[in-house]
Amino acid sequence: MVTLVCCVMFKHIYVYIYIYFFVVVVEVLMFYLSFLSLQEFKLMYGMLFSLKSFIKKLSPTDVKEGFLSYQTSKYKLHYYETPTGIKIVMNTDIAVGNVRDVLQRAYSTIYVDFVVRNPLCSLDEPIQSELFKQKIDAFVRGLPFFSARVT
Amino acid sequence: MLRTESTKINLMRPLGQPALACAGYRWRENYYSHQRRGGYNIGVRIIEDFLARTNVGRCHDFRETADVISKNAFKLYLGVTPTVTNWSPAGDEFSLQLDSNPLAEFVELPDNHTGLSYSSLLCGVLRGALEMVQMAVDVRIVQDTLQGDLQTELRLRFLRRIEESMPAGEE
Repeated sequence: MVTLVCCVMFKHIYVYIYIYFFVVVVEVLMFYLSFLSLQEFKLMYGMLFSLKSFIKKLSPTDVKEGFLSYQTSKYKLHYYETPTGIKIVMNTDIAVGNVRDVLQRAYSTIYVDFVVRNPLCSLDEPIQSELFKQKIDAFVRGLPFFSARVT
Repeated sequence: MLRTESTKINLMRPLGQPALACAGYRWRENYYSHQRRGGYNIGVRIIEDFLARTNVGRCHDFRETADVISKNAFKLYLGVTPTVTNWSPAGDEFSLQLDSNPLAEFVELPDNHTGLSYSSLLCGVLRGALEMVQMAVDVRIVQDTLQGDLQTELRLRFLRRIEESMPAGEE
């Protein structure tokens, strides 16, 4: 079973987007590389922003968690936002269930430990830290639903 | 950020800065802005650490915010639980009363700076942290044990909600 994963983090006001992703299947790599341009990320941000406000307006009761994920025939996009406006997005295979706790762990163990606590990482700019990249790489590779297709 | 760290360390030392003492009033002004800015930088990051460590969700109103600040945040970082009192009638202003201020526990103000507001770092921290959760607040020190009062009192006033806006040129 192939699992495609992509992680994106960005702040709520600025479109300073840090892109980090890795794809399991090599032939799809080129497709995703061309897909995730800065323009696409701006569109993604706009889409998530509109979707969030739409969901809030449409909900009959007060939304507790709001937008969790959306699913297409090809992939599933999971979304987690902290009260401070940090958004974590992960795209996976459609067979993957609720990963909100995974994204929460990614935030608290990796983002906070390696970006927030790093005095050299400015919170207003894309994340340049190599250590952060390594840690998130290892984290996603260690997820139970991450699998490499044997070609 | 390195400047912020040095600000934190400075607080742990008694206030004896001979070179700066001669600047007088100007120094005091710089001290306040330095403390507030350093505190703001600390606050901006400490809120993320706080959210990661405690799984407190978004607060629904200012009263809930006040409770979380006193019972969770202060307890976690300074080990003290201030009392939330003196709510304004509109419910947008409250006081945090600390019987013991951990930042000023071993501090004595020198004679030529007796009016110095030593705990203005706390004001900056609270302002920075709350700004990151979309609340603009004004924090000031009302009572200070270093000035001879019995307790330290911080007054927080809710200014407005910071709305999440689309970045320029997106629409």
